[in-house]
Amino acid sequence: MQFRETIRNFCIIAHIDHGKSTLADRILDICHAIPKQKMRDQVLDQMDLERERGITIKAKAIRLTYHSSSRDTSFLFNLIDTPGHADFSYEVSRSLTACEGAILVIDATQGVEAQTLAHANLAFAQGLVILPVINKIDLPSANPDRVQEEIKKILGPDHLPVTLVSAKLGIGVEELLEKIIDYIPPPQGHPDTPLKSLVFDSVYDSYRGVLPFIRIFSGRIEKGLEIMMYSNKQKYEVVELGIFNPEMKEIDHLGPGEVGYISCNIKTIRDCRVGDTITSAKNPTIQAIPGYKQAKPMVFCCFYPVNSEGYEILKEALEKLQLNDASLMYEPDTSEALGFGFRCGFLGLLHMEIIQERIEREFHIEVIATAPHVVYNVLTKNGDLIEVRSPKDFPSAGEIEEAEEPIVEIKIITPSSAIGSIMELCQSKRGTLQDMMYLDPNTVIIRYHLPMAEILFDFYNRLKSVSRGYASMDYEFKGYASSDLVKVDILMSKEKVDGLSFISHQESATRRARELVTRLRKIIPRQMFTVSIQAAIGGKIIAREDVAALRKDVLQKCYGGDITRKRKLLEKQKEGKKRMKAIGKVTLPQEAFLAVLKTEEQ
Amino acid sequence: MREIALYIHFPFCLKKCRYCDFVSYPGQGDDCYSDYFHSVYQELMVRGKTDSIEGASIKSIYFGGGTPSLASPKVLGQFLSLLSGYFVFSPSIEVTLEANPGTLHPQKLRFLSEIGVNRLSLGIQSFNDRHLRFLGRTYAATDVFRVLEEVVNACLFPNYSVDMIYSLPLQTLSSWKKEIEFFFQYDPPHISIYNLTVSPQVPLYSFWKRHRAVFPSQDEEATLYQWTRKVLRKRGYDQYEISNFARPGYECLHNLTYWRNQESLGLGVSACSYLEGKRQKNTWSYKRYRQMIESGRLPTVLHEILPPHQKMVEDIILALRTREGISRDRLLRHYAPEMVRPKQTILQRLTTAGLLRETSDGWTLSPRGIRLANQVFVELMD
Repeated sequence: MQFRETIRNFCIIAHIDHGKSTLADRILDICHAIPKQKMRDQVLDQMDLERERGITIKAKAIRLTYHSSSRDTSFLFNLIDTPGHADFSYEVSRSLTACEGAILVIDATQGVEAQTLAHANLAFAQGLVILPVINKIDLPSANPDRVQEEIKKILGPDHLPVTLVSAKLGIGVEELLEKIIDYIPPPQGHPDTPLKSLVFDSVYDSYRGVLPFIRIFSGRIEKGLEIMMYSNKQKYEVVELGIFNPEMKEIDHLGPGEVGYISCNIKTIRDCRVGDTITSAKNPTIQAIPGYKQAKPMVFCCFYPVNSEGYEILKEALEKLQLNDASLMYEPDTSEALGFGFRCGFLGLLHMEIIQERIEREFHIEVIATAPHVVYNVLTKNGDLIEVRSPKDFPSAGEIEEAEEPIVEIKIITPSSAIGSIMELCQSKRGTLQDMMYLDPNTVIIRYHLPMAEILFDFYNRLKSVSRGYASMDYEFKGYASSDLVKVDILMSKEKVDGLSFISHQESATRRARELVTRLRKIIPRQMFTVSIQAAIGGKIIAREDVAALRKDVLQKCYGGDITRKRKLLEKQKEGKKRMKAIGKVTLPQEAFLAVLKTEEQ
Repeated sequence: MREIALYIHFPFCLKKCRYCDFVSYPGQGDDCYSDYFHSVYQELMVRGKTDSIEGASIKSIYFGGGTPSLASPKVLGQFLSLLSGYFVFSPSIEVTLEANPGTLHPQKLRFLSEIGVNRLSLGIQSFNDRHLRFLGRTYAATDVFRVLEEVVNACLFPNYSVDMIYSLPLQTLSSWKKEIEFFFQYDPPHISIYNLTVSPQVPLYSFWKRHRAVFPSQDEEATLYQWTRKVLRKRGYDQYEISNFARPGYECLHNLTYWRNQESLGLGVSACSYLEGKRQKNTWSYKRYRQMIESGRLPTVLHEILPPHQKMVEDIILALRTREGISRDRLLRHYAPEMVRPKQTILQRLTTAGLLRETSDGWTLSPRGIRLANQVFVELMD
């Protein structure tokens, strides 16, 4: 067991691309954590997808030994990596709980951005010591003076001294490590008090089951100890424990302040939720670590395999992904149009995209994702309160007493020149301005409350375009608010198509319906008869377009007797037809169902 | 005696047209062509070992390409006489040569006639200089007029055909009418009309993809096609196949063989054969073709023995392309009633839908069905 005074637990927090992973790499270098030949860029990002997108999806931890020559003492550092996106803010907050301090990295050329602020606030709320770092000072466009001013604005005038760093060149990193020892307090807690440890992440291993990653606050863990999950009182025996070196390495025991993993035959990830407290079964702690909650999916969509043979693979993919991702939810779903698939719940849009990409990349099947939507609460006239997760379950206007939709608080950091157009954008998305604060004369933080549904469609792209790419945003769930919501149905030659319905605010329903109907007209291939596309709220038609009947479809060339080639062309046409879904007499290509996604694109 | 149609692919052109996805290489003169025909003859020798074709009666020979009219009558003549030594030419044999304007002149016409060519298929494509340039043809409209005059004046080829392409950029019904008027001035007995099809492999593809708006829309294309069918009928041409129109007695025997799904032998690079229920296709690479021939192997890259169901589907689809249509008797003569029955149901359904017309002994495409033939064919493929 390590002497507590020489332990430092910290994390690195930053806006995307501000250099968090590069800084982590340099720290690993200095601590000789990884043999040179194994060193590759961004060691902490293990999944390919993370490397490509430059984001960390799952928190990880690494144990480092740093020898401080000024003190002639070796210190034990636990560097805990955090996910960098708002979708995973709960996981971020749990990772922060495992630390005493946070290194806040800010790009010297970009300055403070939305996630800088969001992370700094989270760290503040957790009572962490925040060590500000200005990174990329080697770049010609670096402006550390301006960034210093912004830091003062967000951390207050009495913030800790800023370290100027170039993680790429290794400048300032040793100085930072010394400051970690100086300013970040060693962990508290006593080995002889009841065990209290936090699950800040977990991984599924096909041999050992779920392995919780833990930070011990008090007490100690060793092999054979009977432990208990605080939330559900499930008991397990510890069969193995270890540290991250950075690979898992078995050790005998873990004491206060230490970070490691345990193996105790936990079968499913649901029994070992991030944020839960692990204690001793015989001598339990009386108080759990605060802040535990079950992550609740905020965004839903359906996944369908492109070919029906893909159903089993899709099922297996979701099962496997769920082993490592307690916040991914799914249930079987059928659509008249798209066949058998799954309705899935996600923490946010990025989470959804990541899951879809992982399914396609790791399981080699193509999936169709329907338009993402939020969960609505509806109080019916009969007094039933229902949670609507799919537009098809949304009651008709006459049955609704009151409907509520989720609201998010969004923080946008932008050059002040774009304020006007950003406010216009937020206003058009039914936003209400909360406040505005200048970080410096040219940079401003705008806070809005927006219906979550509005940011699902094209909000981020438009924000980027109206600010010429400079604005950054971050959002968090605020709560539910009453709203004037209607369901818009789409009819093809008078037949309702389930998969195309959407829920909209009354005010924008007609505009969105028109856009969708126009888009569908362009996508739906001409058929042997005229197809009418109508959008309706209840019985009232609010938009209509027609697809004219097919007039000519004939292969004219027949050359040199190459019948095989001709047949292949027809077979291809037939295949295309087969992949379309018949709704009544009308056949729809799958793109039609994706059109709902893009209603708001120009 | 066994009667077969013979196709010879000639894979050389002066310059490849921008829309063409057939196999062709830059032409290099008679020595090269004569070498090529030598290889083709070698192929025939190799084939003769496995297929019993020696001494078969040949009802038609079709030199397609490419631009077979690039070869001199001498080279073509030598090759034809080799063929006549191997096969028996039917007394009414049709020998077609595809020819492009700019590759013919009066003397050459005479020679061609002397060596036994009795039908020309003129790849005119358009009477409009802009269209010709767009397609990447190597001649101008004046060459088109000249070659037609020469063919007509020579009086050696009463049987000839003109190929034309429609659905070209900025084409309107009135500009197309003008082109068809030029065609009528010469009054050829046969015309093949194709709409421009641009496959992803051809140079024109990226232009076509990016500038769809300059090409006639589907509706305009339908109008052009319908108008053309009507005016040709008025002028005494029978539409005996989806893209082919002829004065009575001038139908292309060779192509009818394909539509009737009868036996044909194709020789040369990328040529296709259909013999004894087996489809074969040669390699498209000239280099590979020569290598395989020289090592005494067949240059075939595709062998397909049609299962009965597929053969029946092809019979129906090909026959429906023609005026004759598909006859119930023919189906029942060749296939078991339980195989034919489901197709009859589909044919009946398509008749009710107005896409087919019932004849005394079978079905043909209705005027609407001709425009929408692919939709009909796709239904029949199940």
